Amino acid sequence: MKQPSRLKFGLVLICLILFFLLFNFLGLDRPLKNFFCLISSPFQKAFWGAGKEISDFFETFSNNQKIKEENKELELRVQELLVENNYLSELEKENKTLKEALGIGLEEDFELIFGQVIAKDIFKDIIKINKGSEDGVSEGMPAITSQKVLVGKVGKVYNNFSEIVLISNTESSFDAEIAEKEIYGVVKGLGNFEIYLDLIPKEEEIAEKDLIFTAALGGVFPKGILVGEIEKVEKKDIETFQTARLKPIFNIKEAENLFIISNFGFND
Amino acid sequence: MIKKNIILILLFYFLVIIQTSFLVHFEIFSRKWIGLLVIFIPLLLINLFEIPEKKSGVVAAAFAGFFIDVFSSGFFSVYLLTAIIFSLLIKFILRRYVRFPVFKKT
Repeated sequence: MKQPSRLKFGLVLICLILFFLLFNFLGLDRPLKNFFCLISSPFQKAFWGAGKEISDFFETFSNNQKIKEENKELELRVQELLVENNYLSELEKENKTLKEALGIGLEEDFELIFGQVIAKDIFKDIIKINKGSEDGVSEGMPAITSQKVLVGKVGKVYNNFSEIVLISNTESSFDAEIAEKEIYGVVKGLGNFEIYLDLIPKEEEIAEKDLIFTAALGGVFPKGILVGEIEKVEKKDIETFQTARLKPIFNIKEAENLFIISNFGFND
Repeated sequence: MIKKNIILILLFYFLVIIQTSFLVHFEIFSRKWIGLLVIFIPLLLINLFEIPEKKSGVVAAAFAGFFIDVFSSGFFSVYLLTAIIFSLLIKFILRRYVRFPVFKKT
């Protein structure tokens, strides 16, 4: 490359960088991204649905044996849960009666905004849904599935779209508790749909398959939303806390629709 | 020229959409860097198989980077500039260090 053309190239590159810096700081990228998402959403919806169906189809073949074993396990689990469910409905009745007796109103249900997943970021654990500020979505709102499983929280909001930062995102961390044990810890994202539970006191007894729910401590998510189950407990002698690798209940492959909690009270 | 650019725009637009909405469901492509190969390989091929003096590879890189930026959550222009620099680098290496006999004028 000759001297003047090198200089020209350098100048063009610097101008481009300055232009894009200004472009980002003035927030001009948002309407641009919103525009492209808006015109692409029909294609994205179609591709999302097709991808889900095709991957399910191939998975059925590859996981046939695994599914059979899982089915047996699940049948046993269902039986256990039926017994537990029966016990819980008894408790619920008792709880309701007690609340009525004490004159306490039942907790208000969440106000929900329904959204459809249309895309996932290439590099980060962030998904895009087809609802934005025009539909009442704001930054920081929790996102759950119809089964009350935690998905993440709203990140950037555009006019017609929003980004959901998944709980497995490396920037995500929130307080959680282990069901029935009142053990608290912090769930952190590892990326690639993986999460782990950190800062659990070493003396606490935790085990595989323990269910993890959100705690109201951090004020990020409402209390009692299912997060995942413990897959592997990791205890080291030199460390003060123990950690546990979690299996998130939320599965990106099954996610097509989700709900944004637009308001909730931290009644703890 | 315009026809070629429209084809490049459509190609990378659909590749990025396919990557973000379709291939996400397949475990291997949902991994960060493997997923990017879907866009990176065509870009590499365009840059490798065109005459180094031509500019289509750089234009293709600009479109690819632009669409990755549009459908990503990060700082806008990171992938646009990275892709352009990547394309220019390939062209520079090809021009300076590689000679394909097929490109020689007879």
